[in-house]
Amino acid sequence: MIEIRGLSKQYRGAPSDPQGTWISSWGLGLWLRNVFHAVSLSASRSPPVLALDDISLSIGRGEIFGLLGPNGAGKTTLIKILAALLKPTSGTASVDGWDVVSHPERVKRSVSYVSTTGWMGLEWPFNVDESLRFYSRLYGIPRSQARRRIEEVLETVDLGGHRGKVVSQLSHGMRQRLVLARGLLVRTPVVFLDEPTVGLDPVNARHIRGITKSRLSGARRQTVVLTTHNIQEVEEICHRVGILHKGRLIALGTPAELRSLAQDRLVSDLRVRNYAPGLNADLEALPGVLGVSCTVKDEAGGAASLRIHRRRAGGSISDVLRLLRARRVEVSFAAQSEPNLEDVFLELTGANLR
Amino acid sequence: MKGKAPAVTSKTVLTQLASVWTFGIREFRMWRSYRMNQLMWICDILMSSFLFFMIGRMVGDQSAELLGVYGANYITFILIGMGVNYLIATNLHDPFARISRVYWDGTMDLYLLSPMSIYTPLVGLMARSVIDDYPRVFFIVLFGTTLFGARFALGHIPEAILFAALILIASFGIGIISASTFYLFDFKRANEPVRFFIQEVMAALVAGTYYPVTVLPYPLQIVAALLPHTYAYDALRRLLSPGADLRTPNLVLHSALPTLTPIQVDGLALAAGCLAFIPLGLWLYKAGIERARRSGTLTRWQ
Repeated sequence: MIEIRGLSKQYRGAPSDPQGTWISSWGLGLWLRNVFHAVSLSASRSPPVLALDDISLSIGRGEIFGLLGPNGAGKTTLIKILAALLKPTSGTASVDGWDVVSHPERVKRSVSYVSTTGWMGLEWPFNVDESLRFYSRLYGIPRSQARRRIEEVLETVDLGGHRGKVVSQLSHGMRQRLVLARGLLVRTPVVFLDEPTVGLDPVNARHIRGITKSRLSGARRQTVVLTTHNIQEVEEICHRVGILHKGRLIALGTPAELRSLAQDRLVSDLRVRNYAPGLNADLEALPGVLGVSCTVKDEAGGAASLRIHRRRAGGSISDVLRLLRARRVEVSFAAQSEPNLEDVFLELTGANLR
Repeated sequence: MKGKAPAVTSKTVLTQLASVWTFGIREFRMWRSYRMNQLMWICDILMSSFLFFMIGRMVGDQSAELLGVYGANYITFILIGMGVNYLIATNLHDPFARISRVYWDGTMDLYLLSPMSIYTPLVGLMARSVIDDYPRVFFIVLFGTTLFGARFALGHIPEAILFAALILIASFGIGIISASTFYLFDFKRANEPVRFFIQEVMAALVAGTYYPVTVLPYPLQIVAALLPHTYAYDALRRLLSPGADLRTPNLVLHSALPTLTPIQVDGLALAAGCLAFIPLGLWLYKAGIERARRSGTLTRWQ
């Protein structure tokens, strides 16, 4: 369904001072600067940015494929190329058999996109019902089918009771569901879901995950490419996952296969009080400790959550607890778990996913 | 990998037209929510007409001498200029403004992802101009005739409609060129220079909206000859002003083509404008989209 071979994308370097001097950021100066930049008469002072570097992968029909990576890893660039909104610098990609460079018009008929924020492309003058009718017309869905499909997707995303509300009257979650409804309305072979559950309450998020799994991938056999920072989401619904880091695909496989990359690790989650900033470095100096990530909950009281990555062999949790006791850090909760995909990312890159 | 895309059929053309109609509904809905705006432009037309009525009274008996081939009614002369100027200014200004608006709204991203042609939103979004701006011409004629003594010759209405259509098409071509700069030269932060130079500088100075171009120094008349505005003003004033002269040349191009009547020359110049600007605009707009597709500036979604 999606074939990618040796795909790279390099952006021209942005101007080092995007505002420019007053003469190049206003009126005639701005016009001349833009024209010179467009016809490459003015070289950018910044080096080019390699957003994607030699990506190769295949995604099958009906598969839910998760794209994981921190901000700036290249996830959106990859989706934009697959949606024919961006041309690659080198390599090839095809969607539903159509090359994204030579047949962008055909590719557009094969993909739909559900955005990250729930705001993109919402038609503010229209209510929910009119908005869906508007898009059904733009996508050339015959009127007879459109009515039935709108009823169906409104029921699916549970917006039937709000069909008369205009966008400004909808809550964030409802807007998100309206965007999802629009994505469901168009039955394209490929659906891109760009962080579809961000900002949603757990019930709505679970509902959307359910729709993705049972309706899109299950009943309709649509290929879903999902980008998210939510590890639980990926592990719950994705058949396979690709991890992107600085434009490179550094890991590819099922969630279980990827977790096995970090099988020599254990993760300890602690909730503590009296946490002091210098503690991380001392913990990392202990034998077997690979890294510590910390989320401070209450700065005044020193309440914090610690996630400690350790080798299975070498060192033990008792060393950690002994050090904390010595520093008068109170431990209110401790649990040991198997590594998840975030830990895999840490294992592969030494950096945090978020 | 599949190789050939199916050819464009009448069904796909109908689908595009249906999308244009859908945009029309969208724009009508938006237009309806700005009722105060409509009241304001009616007041604006009323005030402008009144202002020129007063200037017309001041000019008085000298009108015939000043207007030359365009008859003797200064109000008629001015109101035709204002009406044509509304049409041209709308077609020049709105394509860039509409594209810019939907880009910053984030809705353009969805339009570009839909199966629509890249030109369909460009044409469809102009529905707002048709609804909001074109009717102003009717009000200009209405106020002019009922309140300020404008008179119109009705013997050449079909020809006048043809010339109005020609200038609408030619100016829309320049408007598309203007819109293409949004992607081609990344004029996303501010206004753009095509419309500014043609409408705000050249046309404002030499096209003859408020005075005949014959009063300009000869070098500026040559500049005026490069603008489609000049020929639309000339033809429509000759066709619609009572007592206007249809045969005496008064523009640079009229003198350069003495075997043709001024109206024929105006028609040829406007047709040439349509044939030049529309294909050029469509080509540049596509080139702009392709450039943005390479550089990553096509969508607001980053």
